[in-house]
Amino acid sequence: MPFLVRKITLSKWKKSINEFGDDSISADAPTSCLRTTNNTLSFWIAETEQDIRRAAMAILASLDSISSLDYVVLDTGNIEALELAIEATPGDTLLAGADTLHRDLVNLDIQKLKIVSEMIRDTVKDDNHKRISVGEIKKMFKEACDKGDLDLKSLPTSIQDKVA
Amino acid sequence: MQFRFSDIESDKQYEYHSLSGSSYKGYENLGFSTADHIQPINTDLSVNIASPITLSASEHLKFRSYISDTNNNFYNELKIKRAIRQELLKSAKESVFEYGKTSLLQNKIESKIKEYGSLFIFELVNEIFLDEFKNPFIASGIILTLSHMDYSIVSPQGPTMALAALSNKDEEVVESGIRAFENWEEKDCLIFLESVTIKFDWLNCYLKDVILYLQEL
Repeated sequence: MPFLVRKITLSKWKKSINEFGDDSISADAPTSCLRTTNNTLSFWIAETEQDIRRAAMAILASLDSISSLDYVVLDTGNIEALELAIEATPGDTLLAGADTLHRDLVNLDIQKLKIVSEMIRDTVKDDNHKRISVGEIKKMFKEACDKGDLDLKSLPTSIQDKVA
Repeated sequence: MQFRFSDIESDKQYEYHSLSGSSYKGYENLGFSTADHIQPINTDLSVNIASPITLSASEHLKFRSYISDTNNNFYNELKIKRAIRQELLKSAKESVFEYGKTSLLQNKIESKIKEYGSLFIFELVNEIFLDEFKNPFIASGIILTLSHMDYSIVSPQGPTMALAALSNKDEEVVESGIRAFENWEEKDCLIFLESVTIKFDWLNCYLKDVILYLQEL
């Protein structure tokens, strides 16, 4: 069963759990971490552990600067069981060939957004979230450039300076 | 002679002490025309630090002109400072802060640095950070923004602010401080970090990872 990968701001969710408990969610966490556009929420799809790494790289290659990456991996089986619709849409990333890995959760209303928020909260609560440090990110960028998946010159200057 | 501002912005009150020890206090807009009331006295030229000094007529004129210029420059600088500070704070409030993404505040800071230099701008950012220390959104947003910028540009105010962030009661602000040190990859910062203990376990673990990373650089 494929997975959906999404970047989060870990402290928003940790703070929510510490201040609002396991059964509730602070308003700040979803409103800052799960900003929707046209009632859609952006994810990257992955089939295997290696794909998850590639999805993370696709996220990193869509950013303006290097900063450690916190992300969650959600099971699409759980998402579909909750009647959340997933749609393939082109992703905005500089990683070659990765635009096809992009997915949107579509037709989201406040109830569905709450379900997604609860999935993320539980993932963080159970310590199943993942982090890639700045050191690892630099290695990933270098590898992707060496493989030809990324063009160093097309990256933002601040990333180029750190990777070169 | 002594000259003192009490509040340049509100009443423009000043106090002028003449050689004889008598003093004159006044309120006016700008400039020091009231000082005309005090006549220069050409008597004792020996200057005691504790006592007023004597000015000749020409020195008195030069002094008046100097004070007027200084006053105007000081007042203008204060006005500019306030306006930029206001702009920066507004940008901070309107920003969407996300790690790895350039915020409105970062664009504003970078454009102001081009105009006024980094030392002046980071002095203002530092003031805002201290004023908003209890506002996690602004405080963490400022540190996040600085963490995206080069250490050589944000130093010395940047690391000082990030270090202060580590003592904040809010997890988001503390996280932003640790992330900043990780992003800057500056081994010299180890001296600040090695003695820090954070009350949140998960952030303490993160800090230890960052310390290890910096040690290995």
